[in-house]
Amino acid sequence: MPDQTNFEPRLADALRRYANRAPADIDALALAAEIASASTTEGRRHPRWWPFGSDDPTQERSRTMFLAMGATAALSIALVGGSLALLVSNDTQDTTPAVTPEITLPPLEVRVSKANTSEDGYALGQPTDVVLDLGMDLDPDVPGRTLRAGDSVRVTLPDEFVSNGLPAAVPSECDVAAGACNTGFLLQGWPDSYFPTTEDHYTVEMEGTHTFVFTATQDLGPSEGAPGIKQIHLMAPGFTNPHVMTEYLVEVAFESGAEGTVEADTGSFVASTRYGLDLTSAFGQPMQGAAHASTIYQQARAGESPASPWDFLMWDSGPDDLTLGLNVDGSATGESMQGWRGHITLEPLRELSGTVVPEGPTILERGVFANEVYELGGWWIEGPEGAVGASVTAEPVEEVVLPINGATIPRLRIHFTAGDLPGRYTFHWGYGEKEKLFVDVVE
Amino acid sequence: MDAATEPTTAERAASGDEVAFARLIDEHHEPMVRAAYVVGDVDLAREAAQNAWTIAWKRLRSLRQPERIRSWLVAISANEARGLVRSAKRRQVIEISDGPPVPATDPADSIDVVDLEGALAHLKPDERALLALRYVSGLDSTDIAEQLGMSASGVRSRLSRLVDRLRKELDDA
Repeated sequence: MPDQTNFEPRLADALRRYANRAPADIDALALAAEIASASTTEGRRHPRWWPFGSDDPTQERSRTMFLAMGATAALSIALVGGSLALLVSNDTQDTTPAVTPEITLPPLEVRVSKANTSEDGYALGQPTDVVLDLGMDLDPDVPGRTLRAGDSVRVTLPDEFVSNGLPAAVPSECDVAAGACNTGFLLQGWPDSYFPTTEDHYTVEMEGTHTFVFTATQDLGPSEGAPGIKQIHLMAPGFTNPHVMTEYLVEVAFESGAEGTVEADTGSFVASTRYGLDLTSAFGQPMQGAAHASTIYQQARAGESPASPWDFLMWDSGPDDLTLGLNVDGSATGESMQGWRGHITLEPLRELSGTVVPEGPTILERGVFANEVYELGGWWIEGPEGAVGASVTAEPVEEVVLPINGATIPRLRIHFTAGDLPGRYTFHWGYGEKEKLFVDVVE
Repeated sequence: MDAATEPTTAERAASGDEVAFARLIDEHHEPMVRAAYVVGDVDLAREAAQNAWTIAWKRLRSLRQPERIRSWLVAISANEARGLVRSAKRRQVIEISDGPPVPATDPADSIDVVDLEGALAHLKPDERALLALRYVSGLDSTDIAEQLGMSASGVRSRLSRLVDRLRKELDDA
């Protein structure tokens, strides 16, 4: 007769025995090389010491020979080599002559992410709506890219994205909320930071079936209060994301009439299942274009709040369904900002069963957590060592309409009050990499 | 360079060092597959772990606590497995021949793996992932909470309910 009082250890034992059945053999070196190689084509760079750089085709044979070694032996040799190479790397950096610092743009490094103002633009089988990050620091104090009058940036979606032939236009020339055209916004580092969307600033055209061409009709670059181009929000209702969950490469090329392609890179689009409940940072204030200050990077005085609150949009839920709440852990009220954390919760959810969207494995998950408080995720704030007195509060959830696409969506507005010491305060949401909001506190 | 400032394997991998990345794979792949297997099946576990490495390669630079990389990796793997199960609407296939039988230390007091497999089939992917992270990967509720963006108390309460359910089901088996 099983021991009724000791079930948990027996369960753990059984789960481990069960899990141990899974074969876990792997050629670590080959897998690492494969992943790194695939990533390199998307723009990731090898470290300086990398001896088989793909930029030099004459070294490809060496790379092949390297990978052909027995996995264990190669790993051992390579681990030693890697350590030596790291030293070489450091030596190289140390002996680089100092040069006068100058403002140079980082290399184009495209990253494709979900648009914060869209419910499912990144999901399998849904209309394409993504943000192409161009590898720039999003701090508004850091200059972005410039597109001179007549120059273009081309964005090419993979063939797996199905086009219905919808024409392209700048947002001001079509009913974007109705999905009347494929279009795009040239962003400067935060969601409502787009350049004016009229044809006397830039045009949007389709070239062939899968290439968007953004052409500047006047110089679009850094100016007072506007850092320049850092992201492209691609709204493509005429395209359907693929139905197969894997990586797709989106190509971005900056082109000059005089020089042809100046710089190009590809970013990985990982079509994913749709997350039924998704809290994204966005901004409920009226869209004010380039002149509007970033709410991601703000300043405040000690003990005071920054000019703009932090707004989060709650996708895939109506205002009747939920009460969003900002909770603070008991431990978070301590004297130090270090490790100060809490949760954003949702309660209660309406009873709904999961819904499978036809023609794709996209699953809504509302209802899974019905009848219980659902924690959307954790947040934490980092602040200067020793700072006290900071606080966060939330307003009741309000339904807002997004001017960019007419979507009606509940919004959680959070107010932050800085602590008593100057320095940077960082609000992390999700895993710490999903969203970060910064407040620099000055004396 | 002294030991305190020497970059860890994770930090070297994050800087683009493929060899360091291979070392991470060598060290952590097995627990990642194990965790994913509890969520799905053999093929899914392999796929989930490989996807997880692709994700890890891209996100290593944002890893805040390199010393906790194992928790981070198994959580990514379990999350990937959850996603794959949902997307493909896969069902757990009972294939006892998949792996070698592992004898229980005390048959009279152990849970039969076949019974366990049947019970797992009734759970949602999220629930299986929680079990995997807690009991297979050995993460505590704080670790799980951090990785999944939940509160530790929420993890504990959900695990407690899961264990109760499994206790009833398995003791009736």
